[in-house]
Amino acid sequence: MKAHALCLGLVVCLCSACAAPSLRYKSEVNNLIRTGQFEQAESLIASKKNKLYTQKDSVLFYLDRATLLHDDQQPRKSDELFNQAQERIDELYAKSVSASVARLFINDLTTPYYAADYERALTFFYRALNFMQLGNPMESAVEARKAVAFLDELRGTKTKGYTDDPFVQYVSSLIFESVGERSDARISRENAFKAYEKLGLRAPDFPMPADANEKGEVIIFHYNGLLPLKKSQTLQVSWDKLVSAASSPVESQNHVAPEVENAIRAGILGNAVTLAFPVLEKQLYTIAGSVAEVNGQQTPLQKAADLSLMATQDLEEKLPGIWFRLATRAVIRQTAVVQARHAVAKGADNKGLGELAGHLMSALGASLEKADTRQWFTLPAEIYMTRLFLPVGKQDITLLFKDGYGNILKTYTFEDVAIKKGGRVFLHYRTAL
Amino acid sequence: MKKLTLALLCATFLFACSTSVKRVETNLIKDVSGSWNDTDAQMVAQEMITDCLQAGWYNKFVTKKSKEPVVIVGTVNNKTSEHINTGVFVEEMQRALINSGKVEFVASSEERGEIRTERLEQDEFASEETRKAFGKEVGADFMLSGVLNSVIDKEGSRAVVFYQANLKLINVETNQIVWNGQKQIKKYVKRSKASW
Repeated sequence: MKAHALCLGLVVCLCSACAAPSLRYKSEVNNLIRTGQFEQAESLIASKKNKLYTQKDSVLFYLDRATLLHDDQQPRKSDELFNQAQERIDELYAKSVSASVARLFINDLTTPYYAADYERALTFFYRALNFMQLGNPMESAVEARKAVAFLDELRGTKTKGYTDDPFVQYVSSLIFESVGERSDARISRENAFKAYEKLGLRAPDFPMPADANEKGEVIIFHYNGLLPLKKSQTLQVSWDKLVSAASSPVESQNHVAPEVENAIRAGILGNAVTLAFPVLEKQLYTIAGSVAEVNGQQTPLQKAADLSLMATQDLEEKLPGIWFRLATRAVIRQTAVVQARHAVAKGADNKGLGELAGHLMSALGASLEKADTRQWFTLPAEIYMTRLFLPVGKQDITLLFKDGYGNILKTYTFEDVAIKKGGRVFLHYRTAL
Repeated sequence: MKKLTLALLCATFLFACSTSVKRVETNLIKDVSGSWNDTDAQMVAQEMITDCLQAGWYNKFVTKKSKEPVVIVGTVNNKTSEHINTGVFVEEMQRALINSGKVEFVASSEERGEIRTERLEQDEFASEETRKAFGKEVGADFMLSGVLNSVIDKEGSRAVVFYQANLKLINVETNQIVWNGQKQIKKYVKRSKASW
């Protein structure tokens, strides 16, 4: 009895040891984002410190909150968090050997969250925009320089996958222009166009009016939708029948943690090994574009970044490594099950007890198997933008958000935007309906 | 004996996890990340100002005007890839200039704005004997301004960071550049790729 209780306790402890933000929690935050309650969503995330976000997930803790504060038009607070995230990313340059080894025995959640390359590039974009909103173009240019240096390094070291970011390059070029660094602006613009072409995407094209010198410029970013969410997909592989998938439960929004379900299934199946890996689930949103209206004149915003695509490509890039570690863990766990069964059966001279030990070891292994579903999930799915050249003075700029059929679902007006001759104003708005 | 060993073991872990803080001398040179730091700001400011005050413009001005030049520190633009508080650098230069005893110094435009507001308020609220009059400010003869640049050569965990501070002393009346100074700092930074 004591031994059973001990085993159960061990399983429960190990199950809770490597927690990650669940699909249910992410959906809860997303519901607040849908209704524009960014501050409440940020507070909800802040309340999960040391619960869903442990020390090793501090990068995510900062990024998830910083984005929402940015969306809530709180650039100073947002920048403080982005700064902390960048500092932590820098600290994590030295990869933990012990955590990497533990990945082969326990699961992928044992390592700290190392931000994906596209996520790192976006931190520079968000900070640059925060500084622009705070009226500090020189500091914004620092972020643009950091972005360009990071992307240069990527292009120099990677040949496949995410090697450059057209959107971040394009925005960097605008920022360089704003501080008079025309040469850097030209290089970034060229890199942006090359990267758009490489991705098979259309580069944004904004015509400049002949009288642009007499006007002021407004650059609007429309963050739209919700990023596809990573969720856990599990496979129970029956070892004695070679490799055959017994079942494949997917993480749902119910209250039972997937690792607990896996432990139960593995305990029943006995000679099965559980494998868990992340898959992306598309999030639904109906707004499919936007139009800016000033004094009755409408200008459609152009899609400049597809973050859903980047998230998908990032996971695809990581999948070979994930599968390798899954296979390694499967072999180690199956060996442990066989060893436990034989050792107990031999020691107790009881085949039944040996079988029980095998089942328990299998359940323990399954309870440890968790997919790494960590991601910077408060990002939008896509970013639209436009550049408007408007007469000097105060202007009301209305954004009309439309569905795929052209129906207006929502409007928002930036009131009394001060336009100065030759000046530049950066505005942003988030929707997730 | 067992209890003592256990207590010692616990204490080891407790101390291993606690934050450690140690006071150090302000002039201690300590590089942590390899980024621009207080030592760099002090070094550049001190050396540049010494160079500036030894240059020909100073004696020319004193001989011609028979007075100490009045200097103001303008903007130092940050064109590096780091968020550098150029205010620290500007303050260092200001301190070095004042302490040289060779030049007179006037408040920066931001400080002047604050003082003018104070004078306006004194006009309304202070007694006539203590009230300070307008139009008695000392105009600067020269403005010191500059730019901080950096070039980074990076590969993997190794990087060479080259900082270059360029300062100019400009005659406020004639826009003539009377002195142009440069100070360079080169750093080799190597980061560990793995931790335990």
